[in-house]
Amino acid sequence: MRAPLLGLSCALFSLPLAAATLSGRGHLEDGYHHDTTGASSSGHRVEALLESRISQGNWTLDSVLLGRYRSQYDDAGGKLEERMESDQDLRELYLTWAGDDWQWRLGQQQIAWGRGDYFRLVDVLNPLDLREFLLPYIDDYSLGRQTRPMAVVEVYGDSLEQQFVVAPRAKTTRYAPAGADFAIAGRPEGLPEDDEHERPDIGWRGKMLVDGTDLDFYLFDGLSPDPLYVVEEGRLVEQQRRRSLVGASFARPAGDWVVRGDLVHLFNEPLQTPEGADNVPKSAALLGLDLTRNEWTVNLQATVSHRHGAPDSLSRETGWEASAALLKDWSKQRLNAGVLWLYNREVQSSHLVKANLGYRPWNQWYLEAGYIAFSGGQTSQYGQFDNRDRLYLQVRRDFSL
Amino acid sequence: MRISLLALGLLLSLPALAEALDPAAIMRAVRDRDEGQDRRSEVTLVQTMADGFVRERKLLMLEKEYGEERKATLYFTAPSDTAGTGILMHSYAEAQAREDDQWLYLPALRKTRRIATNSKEGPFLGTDFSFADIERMRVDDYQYRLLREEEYKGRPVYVIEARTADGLENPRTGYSQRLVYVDRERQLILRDEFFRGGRQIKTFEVVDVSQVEGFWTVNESLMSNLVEGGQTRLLRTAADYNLDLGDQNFSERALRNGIR
Repeated sequence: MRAPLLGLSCALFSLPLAAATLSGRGHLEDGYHHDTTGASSSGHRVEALLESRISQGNWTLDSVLLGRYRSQYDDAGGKLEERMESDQDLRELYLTWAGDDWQWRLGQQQIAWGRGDYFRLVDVLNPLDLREFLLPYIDDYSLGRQTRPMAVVEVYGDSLEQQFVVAPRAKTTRYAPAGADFAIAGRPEGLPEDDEHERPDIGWRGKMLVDGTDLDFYLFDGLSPDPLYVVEEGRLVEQQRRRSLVGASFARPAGDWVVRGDLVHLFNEPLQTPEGADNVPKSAALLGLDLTRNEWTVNLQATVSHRHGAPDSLSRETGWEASAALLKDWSKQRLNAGVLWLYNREVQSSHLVKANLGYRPWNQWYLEAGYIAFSGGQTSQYGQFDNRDRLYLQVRRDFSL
Repeated sequence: MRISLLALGLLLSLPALAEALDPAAIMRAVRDRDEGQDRRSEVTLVQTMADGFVRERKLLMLEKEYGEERKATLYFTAPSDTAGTGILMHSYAEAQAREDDQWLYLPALRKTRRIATNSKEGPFLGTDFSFADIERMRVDDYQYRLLREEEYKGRPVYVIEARTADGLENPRTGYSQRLVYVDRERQLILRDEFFRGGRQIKTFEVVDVSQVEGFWTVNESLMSNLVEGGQTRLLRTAADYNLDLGDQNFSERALRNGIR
């Protein structure tokens, strides 16, 4: 990370700063959650974010700084405190040169592919930070993705926009350590890695508008962010395997609704099996519907995924996911209420429900109270956190520089 | 013979007079008013709610004509919780009877979302303007009747009544009737009263107009909400015309990169 940062800093200081424009903004947020099951402790969560942009001519330098503190893990000791209590991160730092027909971006950044919300069929370039199970970022994935160094070139034709991505350093999904609220039961920790990543991740996106329909196509070859656990020479090791995919997305209005979808085929998706690890082809599809009318917003989604030729030891080849979100604004968007339901079915069904009420008492201030509940089988996606139901109250102050 | 010539002259001039006073033609002239090939505006929306709460939003707006089509990019610069949000709009020729294409960029998601444009009666970012109020006027939404010519705030105006063909709400705009005051010389709407179900719900008024680079420009206008109370003031703090704006300013990448 140090080398790209140094390079970008040099690039920044080589800009004729006298003519540059600087803009910045951010927020401070304090949230308190109360565990309603008694299985965990309650606590505060403080977050500070600062985004800045320096522009001069065709050049732009963007950065995002994020700091977080979770009082729940005060004095937790060991790796739990080290990994969960607080962190400060220069999340994004990238330089952009934008011309008429093409542009490039270089540095620590994130790229969001696909038309899906909550379900990431083709959003594969940045692994997630799941230490808090994305609860703080469930509506704002930009802070839930782990950023990584990337070189991005975009070429703009008359009818086709192309994006080429090279990402040299792989990252894995960041899981909560044992003892944290959202630690995954039985997940091995601290294993040696058996990785030789000789090739960077590479990706391509083609984007076009055909008769009012947005169409995107994707190609990707790179490492899966989810490590597999395999026994090698009598010891358990953590292994990241490559995967390749071809995908497509679309979005178009249909009356009052917007219809959108993602489609993906993974040629050799790494898969944890009871015997160890395997690579099997997998296909998945997402269909979503959005409606915004008279201060009501409705968002419905369903996905299905199917593993082709999965080992017999896996009890299910087809998985289902769905979501429904309903948001109502009142008083010129000062007051809002929302309900979100997420559903997952692999072997067992599980659910997450979030209900919230938000209010803006003054400009740049936002108060939100809500309830989050999990249910389902103990080994299911949401059911494993069945004893993590919580009430929360948070206050946020936005600011600009 | 002299009388016959006079009568003939009158007969010949009648179609021209009728054309000049055809209210639909007047509205088309308003729609097609020369606003340059492209323009850049800095806009401030000051919204005062019924309880006195004031919210201010600032945005940059780029617009460009492509024949009878128009593209516009709106990029919010303040306040901080809205800054970085962008809207891209493609409006098609009215004769095509095709809904606009619109995209919304939300910086928190790092994604551009498609927006349905069939219904535009909803509030534009919570203000008293609806999406229908800020889109390019569609003359065929209503049938027109010229009520009178008069002076309004010192300007000669046509007062035109606009009604939907069936008298019901236009499902796209949410209005069933409008009373429009059009500046006869500048082809500008100076006042617009909006009705739903026979009840006036909003009033639009132009507060300040000036000529910028030879184009009549509305510097300040006011939309009053007569149902919920409150109003939104739209201030154009800067306007520049014919800047030869590149097409890249009217694309998704402009939303992502921002405009200046």
